[in-house]
Formats: sequence, structure tokens, C-alpha cells
Amino acid sequence: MDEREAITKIRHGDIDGLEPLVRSYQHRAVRAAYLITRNREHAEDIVQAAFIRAFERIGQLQADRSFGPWFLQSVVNDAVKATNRGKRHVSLDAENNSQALAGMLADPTPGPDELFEGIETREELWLALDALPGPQQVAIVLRYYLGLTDSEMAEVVSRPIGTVKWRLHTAHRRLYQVLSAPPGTVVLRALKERSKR
Amino acid sequence: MKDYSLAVRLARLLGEQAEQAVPSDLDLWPEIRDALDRRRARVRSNHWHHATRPSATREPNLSMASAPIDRFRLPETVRKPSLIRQLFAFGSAVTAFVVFAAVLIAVVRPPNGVDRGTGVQSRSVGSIDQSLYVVTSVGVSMIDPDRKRRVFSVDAPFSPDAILSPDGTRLYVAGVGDHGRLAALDAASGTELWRTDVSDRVAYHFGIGPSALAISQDGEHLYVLSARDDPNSTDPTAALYWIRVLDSRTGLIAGESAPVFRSTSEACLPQLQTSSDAATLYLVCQRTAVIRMIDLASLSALDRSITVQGRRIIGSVLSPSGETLYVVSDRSTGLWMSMIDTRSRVIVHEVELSTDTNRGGALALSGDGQRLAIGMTAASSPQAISDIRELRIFEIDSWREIARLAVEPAATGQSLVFGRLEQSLYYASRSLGSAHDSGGNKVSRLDTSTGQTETITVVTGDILHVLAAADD
Repeated sequence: MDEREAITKIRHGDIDGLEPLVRSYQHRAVRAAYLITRNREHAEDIVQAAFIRAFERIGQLQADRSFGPWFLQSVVNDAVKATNRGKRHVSLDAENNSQALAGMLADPTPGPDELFEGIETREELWLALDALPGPQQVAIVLRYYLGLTDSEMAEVVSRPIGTVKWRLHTAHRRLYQVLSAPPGTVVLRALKERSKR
Repeated sequence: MKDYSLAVRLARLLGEQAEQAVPSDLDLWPEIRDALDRRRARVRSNHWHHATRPSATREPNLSMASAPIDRFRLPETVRKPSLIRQLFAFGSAVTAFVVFAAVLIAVVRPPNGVDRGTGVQSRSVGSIDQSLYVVTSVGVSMIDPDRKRRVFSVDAPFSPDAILSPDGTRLYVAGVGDHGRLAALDAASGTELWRTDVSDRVAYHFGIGPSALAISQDGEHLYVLSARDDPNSTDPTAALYWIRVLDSRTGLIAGESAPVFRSTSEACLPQLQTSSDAATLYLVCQRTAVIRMIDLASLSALDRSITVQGRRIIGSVLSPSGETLYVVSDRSTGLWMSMIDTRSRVIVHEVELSTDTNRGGALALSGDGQRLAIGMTAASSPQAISDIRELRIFEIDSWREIARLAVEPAATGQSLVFGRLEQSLYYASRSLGSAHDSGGNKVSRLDTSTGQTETITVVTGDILHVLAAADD
């Protein structure tokens, strides 16, 4: 069953039409939501709810528009909202954060990325990403994980293209600055950023 | 820190982290199915509830004042669960348990570590002499389309354009490395021949590299459209654009024009084309449907420009001789083709190619210059996410439509190119992944005689356009 057939089935109220779409998009959607929320359970909840909503609101999908971008737009928006809500209730237990980060940095498991750069650099980059403001993090995920173009990103976050580009530009600049800092600075900065939240 | 581009690192890092956190054996379908079934059961139950709700006509003696709660009391036969309802309730309990168990398993199971790639999309595709060049937002890869394997890759995270020399021995790539340099590569090995800085942009990071490239018919000169921050504008994307002429062998700058136009980076979407006599450079602004001309003898912009029919230009292609520039544009009522004589700098012929409301999305000219392929996207499709689902092929001599083919998977962006034997068309399409496929951009080969499609490779980056064609 291809995507068009699946959507036609859904339009007729057939739940089975949703299955191929779930199987096609679930990994990408949960991973994108995870990268924004940094919480897998939340990410799965968001994506499940988005699929159910997509089933119920399939009438809003224009006939010739692909399901994927329409669906991912909904997932990303929900993930952003969940992240904004979550920040109000995030734990301020700096000790736990420190332990988690220390564990992360101490992880000796070699990864395939070692072929092109060191583990420390990769983890510093991950921490630096985590320390970015929410909209910039979202921009980075949309561009470098989902691979959206500027126009698509603008559509997803409902902002002008110029704003999206500026967020990416600022994020790049900040990441460059952070990665150019002396070793260890990134970890301290990330801890401070986390404890501020 | 090693000299790897930030974009490459980010794409890989995000892909790895996401795959570690969310393994590929994730299966949300049972829970979603169950949730939908339960919702439906609730809806059915509510419908039934409302249908059997006692109405004033059925129970005329019901007193609102004395028993407001009883107003909605169901008949005794309804309130007592029947055997079927009891079975249904038992089934729901079992289902709930299964869902709970599934959630528990999903939460505690360890990641299986299967590498499924990051699935970012490709930017452009081009090929020549049994090789396929894929220019992406993270770099340039040379693919062997027959063996379906990558031969080499070069980091070019800011590349808006790349071109092959007319003899196919060199590949020129804009936006190489973290600083958006212009580089010449040996097209067979990927060895860098030279690299140069041809941009002065500072404020607007994404405009640091060249905006468009063109090469003279003899391959001697490279024309580069670059941008400089516009000092008179507060818009960070505003820029002054000008042309530099480079010696294609050495990368040395041979000449530079005054600014040829002022624009924000997204207002024009430029393409560069050269005339056969190397006298004129055509700057095609796709978004504004205006073609500016630069006189290469004086390196100055001409006072007049060419405006073609329609809202925007889908694309432009030069005839093999370079004497004719074909420009296809979109109108609200169909497609319009304008033929520009590159020597006299005027439109010599205009043809209405179609009269339906579907839009064109990509353009390719066969190597012999006899056939023009146009990828079509539905009129209702948003421009940002336009999928090309149909291909129309026109015979240049008569401008007659000679074939119409379905494109599946749908092509994305301006990624269309004829194969050298002109039977095949290569294109890139976006795939968001499935249970057996992590997504990414597929480069596919469409056999125009049979309509069959074959996947050549999966690449990373944003699709913009196609450069040239490979053999079958």
C-alpha cells in the first residue's frame, strides 16, 4: 500500500490505512521529537498523539501534499511546546546533572565517529547544543536531522525565512565559539546553563 | 579540533544520538491502533447512549424539577451490562494490559545499535562519464551509478552550486569548508586542485560562499556570482552581488565587475549561463522571472534586462552549442518557454507548453539538445515542499509533448538530468524513512522507455538541482 492509498483509506475512516504511515514515519518522528525534548518517553507520547490527531484530522491534509512534512510539522510543533512547558518544571538538581554529564564524558565506548573526530569533541558539541536556546536548538534539529530547507523550516516553525536563517546563523556562531573554547570550558558552561533552567 | 565542518559534525552527531536513544525496533503501531480502537468504541458507545437517551416524547412524565439527574437515566435494560458488553469490557481490560506491557517493554529494552544513517537530504546531483556527482548540504560525493558505491567525498557544507568543466575532467564546487571557499577538484579522484576565497561577506553567515557558478564554453574561465554585505541596509540578508572571472586552471582572479544588482539572498535564486561567444553572462533570477545580462568584455551589467512571461522561472538550460538559452516559466494558466538567442540577447521565440494549472518543478535538456524534460508538481502543492510526480518530455523542434511519465518516488527540488544515452533520467527524491529504510535522499534512475525506476544511492543534503548526465 503506498502513501496515497493509505491516505485514501484514512479519509474513508479505515484505521488500517494509518499503519503503513506509522511504520514509515515513526522512527524519524520520534527521533526528531527526542532531539528537541531530550526525553524519549515524551517523544513517543508526542508522536503517538500526533498520529492519532493526523488520523482524525486527515481532512486538513491537502490532496496533493505529502503526509510526511505535514505530519512532521505537527510533531515538531508539539515537541517545541512540550519543551517550553517542561522548562518550567525542570529539575534544578545540579548534582544529578553533574553526575549525568560526568557519566557521559566518562563513557569509554568507542563510536564510529572516532574515525573522524574525538569522543571529547563530539560530547562537547552535544553539550554545546544542549546549552543553546530552544529556538536555535530546534533550528539545528530541523536543518541537520530532518534536513529541511530554509523555506520548509520557516513553514514548520511559522516564522519568516529570515528569522529561521538568523537563528541558524546565531546557533552556528555560538557553537563555533563554544568549540573554540579551551578544553573543559564547554562542560562548565553547559552545567551553568542547565542549572539556570 | 580537526578541520571538519560543523555541518557534517552536527548531522552525524544528531543522527547518532537519535539512533542511540530511539532504536530502530521501535513500534508504536499496536499502541496507536489500540488507542484508536478505544476511541471508536467510546464514540460508538456515546452515539448509542444518546440514541437510547430517554426523550420527552418517550417519557412524557419525566419531571425536570424533581429529578434532574434522572433526566439522563438510561432504561434499566441498558444500564445492566449485557453479555456482549461484559465481554467487551473484559477485552478492553486485556487490551489495556497488553498496552501497558508494550510500554514497559519499550521503555526498558536496550538500544540495538543498528546504524540507520541520518537521512538528511541531498542538495544537487550531477554526473558525467559513468560517474554521478551528488552535491549535498554536507559535501560532494562521486558515485559510481553502476556499482552503486561512493568513490569519494569532499566536505562542502555551504555549497549552493557546483559545475563540471565541459570536458568533464574538473568539478568546481562553491562553499567548500567552514569558510565557504571555491574549490576545483579532479572529477575522477576528488583531489583538490586549488581553493580560493571569492566572497567578502561577514554579517550574513549563509551568504559567505559564492551564490552561483558558470563556466565558459571553452572551459577556460569560471564565472562566479558573489555577494558582499549591503552597507546601506539593516536587513542582514541584504547584499550587493557582483561577478568575478577566474582562470579555471589556476583559480586566479582575472577580472571583477562592479555590483550587478542588489538583493536579499532569497529574493533572486540565481542561475548563471554563458553565451556561446563568451560575450554575455546571463543571470537568471528564478524568483523574479527577470534575466539580467552582464557584458563580459566590459564586465558591467547592461541597462536592460529580459522579463519572461509568468510568476517565476522554473529553470534555464543552454543548448549544447550555447547559442540558445531555454527558459521555462510558470504562469497561473500553464507553462511558458522562452528561447533567448545568446548572441543577440533577445527572446527569439515563445511557446506555451501547457495550459493546465500544474506547476513545473525541474528542467533537463538531453545531451543532443533535442528533448526537454520538465518535472511537474501539482498546483495545490506548497512550493516549499513541492514533489515532482510527473515528467513531461517535449521535442525541441516541434515543441510537441512526446511523453508523459509518472515519477515514483516523487522527485524533490530541481534534481533532474538526462543520461548520456538519453533514455534515462536521474533525479533525487526525499524519503522520510520506513521500518526498513532510515530515509534520506535517494538518487534514482528513471528509464524513459519503460517508466521503471531504480535507486542508485542514498545521499545526504538539500536538493537544489542537477548538473549533467551519466551514461547508462
